[in-house]
Amino acid sequence: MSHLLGYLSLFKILPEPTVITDASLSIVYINPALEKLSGYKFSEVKGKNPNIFKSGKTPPRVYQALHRALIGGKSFTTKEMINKRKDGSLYQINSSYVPIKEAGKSAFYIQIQHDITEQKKAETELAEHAARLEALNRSLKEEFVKGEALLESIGDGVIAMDKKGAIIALNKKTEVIFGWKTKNMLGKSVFTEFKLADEQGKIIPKDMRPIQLALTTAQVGHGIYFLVKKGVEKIPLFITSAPVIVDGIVVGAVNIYRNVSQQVAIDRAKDDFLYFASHTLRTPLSAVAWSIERLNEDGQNFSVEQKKSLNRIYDQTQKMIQLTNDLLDVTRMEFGILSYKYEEANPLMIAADLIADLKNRIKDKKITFNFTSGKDIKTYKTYSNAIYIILHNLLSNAVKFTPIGGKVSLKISNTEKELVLQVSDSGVGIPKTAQARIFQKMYRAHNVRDKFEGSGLGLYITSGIINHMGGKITVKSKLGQGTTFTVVLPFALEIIQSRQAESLQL
Amino acid sequence: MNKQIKKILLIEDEVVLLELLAGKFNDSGFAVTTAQSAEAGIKLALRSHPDLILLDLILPKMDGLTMLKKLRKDKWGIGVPVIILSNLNDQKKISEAMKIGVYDFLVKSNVKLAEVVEQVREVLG
Repeated sequence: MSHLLGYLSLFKILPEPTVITDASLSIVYINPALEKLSGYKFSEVKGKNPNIFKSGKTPPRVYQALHRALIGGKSFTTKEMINKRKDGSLYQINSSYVPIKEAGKSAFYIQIQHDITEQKKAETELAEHAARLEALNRSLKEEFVKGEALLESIGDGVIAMDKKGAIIALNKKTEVIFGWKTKNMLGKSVFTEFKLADEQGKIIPKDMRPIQLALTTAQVGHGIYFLVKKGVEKIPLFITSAPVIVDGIVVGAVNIYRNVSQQVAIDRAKDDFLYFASHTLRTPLSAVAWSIERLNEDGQNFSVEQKKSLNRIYDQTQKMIQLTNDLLDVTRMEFGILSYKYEEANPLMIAADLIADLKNRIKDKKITFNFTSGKDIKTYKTYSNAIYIILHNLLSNAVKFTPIGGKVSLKISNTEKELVLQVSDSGVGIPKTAQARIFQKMYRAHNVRDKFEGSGLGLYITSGIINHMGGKITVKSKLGQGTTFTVVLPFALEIIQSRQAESLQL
Repeated sequence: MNKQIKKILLIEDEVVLLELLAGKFNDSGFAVTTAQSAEAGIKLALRSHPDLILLDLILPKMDGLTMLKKLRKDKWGIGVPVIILSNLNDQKKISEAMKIGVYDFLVKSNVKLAEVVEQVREVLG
C-alpha cells in the first residue's frame, strides 16, 4: 500500500476518475475527478463497496467477465459500464481495472474510469446524423435515378447547357433527333453543333435563336424551327428554351426539342382539306349560281313553269353554297381558333360591316333593327372574323326566325374584362326542352325544323368559337315571344395568343 | 354611259367562270380583256394598263398573290385597283392580300355577278 499511496498525489491530479479498493473491495480512495463525476465525496464512499456506483443498467456479463479477470489477477477493460451518480443520474464510462499485487497476491484494485457520456451522446448524434445523411444520399440517388429516368423517358430531346451554350447533359431522345452520341457532345456548343432554319430554309442567325432569348433575357423562348442536318431533310422541331436562374442570375438553360414532323404534316393536311373544300366545292356552285343569274336577266323569255324551275335550281344552289360555308366554318372551328385571323379590331366596326351585309334581308322582312353600344368599346387584339361569325350567325338567325315586321336588336357593351354581345329578337322562340340542345351539332328544334331552312350547324359553330375564345353564351327564350342570346368574351386571350404565335411560325 | 369606257382585266383560270364574268361585264358596258394565268395576266396588265383588275388567287404555276406582288413593283402597277375574286377565303390569304394592297376580297360563291359589277363601279367612281 505504501508505495501505491505514494502515487496518490498523482491520482489526485489525474483527469481520469479513479477509484482504488483493497482486496476485500472496500474503497480506499477516490480521486477528485471521480468526486466531480459521481457527486460523491471521498468521505461518503470510504470503506464502502464500489457497487454503490452500480446503476443496474450494465449488462451482467460485464461484471461476470470483470470478476473472472480480477480473480485471475488480470487487468480488465470495458466500454459498456453504466454507473449511477449520487443524484441518481447515469453516466457511461470506459473503465480499466488493474490489480496491484503485493507479495504475489492482489492487494488493491485500481479502477480508472473515462467518462464517455458526452462522447456517447456525440456518437449517437453522429450516428443519427450519418443515418440522416445516408437517407439523404439515398433519396438524392433516388432523385438522381428518377431524374435520369425522367430525362430518359421524356419523349422529347432535352439538352442542359451552361450560360455560354456549352452542353452539360442530354438525353437519349436528343441523340436520336440530332444523331449524336452523348459522350462526344458534352462541352460542345449548341450554337456550332447544329443550325436552325425557318420554313423556307433560311438559316436563323445566332441572336434570333430561342436559346439566345433564354440566356440573354431570362425569358422562356419557344417556336417551331427546322433542324438542318447534313444529308438529312430538315426536321421541324418545336423548341422550348428555358433559362436556369440561380440567385437572379442566368447560369444556363434547358432546351426541349420536340419533333413535330407529324403535327406539321397534320396541319398541312388540314390546310389541304380547307383548300379543297373552299375552292374545289365552291367553284362549280359559283358557276351554277352565276349561270342562273345570267339566265334570269332575260327573264321575259321563260314561261312561268320555267322560271319556277330556274328559281328552284337557284335556291337549291344557294343552299348548297350555305352548306359548304357551314361545313368550312365547322371544320375551321373544329381545327381550332388558329384558323381565325388575330388582329387589332373594333367590335363596333365588325358589327357595322355585318349590318351592312344583312341590311337587304332586314329590309325585305320589314324588321325594325336596333343597334346600341357602350361608349367606350375599344379596339383590341382579337379574332376579328371569329367575332364576325358569332355575330353573323346570331343576327341572321334572329332575322330568319322573326316574322315580317318584327324586331331584332344588337347591343354591344363591355365590362372591365369582357366584351358583351347581346342579340334579341321577337321571333318564334325556342321551346324550353330544346334550349339545352340548340348548341349541339345538327340539332334543330321541332318548332323550326320544317318551317325554316337550316343545317343545325350555326349555333354549334358559334358556341364552339366562343368556347375557343374562353367565352360563354347563354340563351333566354319564350316560345312565341322571342329570344335573347348573350355572349361574353374575355378581352385577354394570352393563352390562345401564344399558341397563335407558335402557329404563325410554321 | 357618257363617260369613257372603262377597261377591266379578268384573270381567272376556270373557263366557265371567266366566260360568265366576261359576259356580264361586257353587257354592263366595260371593255373586257381576259387571261387564264398569272403570267399572261401580268404581261397583259403592264401592256394595256386596265382601269381595274379582277384577280383569282388559285392559278396554274404562279398564284394570284405572287402576281400581285410583282405587279406592285411596277411604276404603273403600284396604283392600279385590284379586287380579289376567289373561292378561297382563308384568313391568312385575305390578310396577306390586304397587306400587299387590294381594294376588296370577294368570295365567288357568296356574291352575285351583279354585286361584282356594283363593286367594280364603286371603285372606278
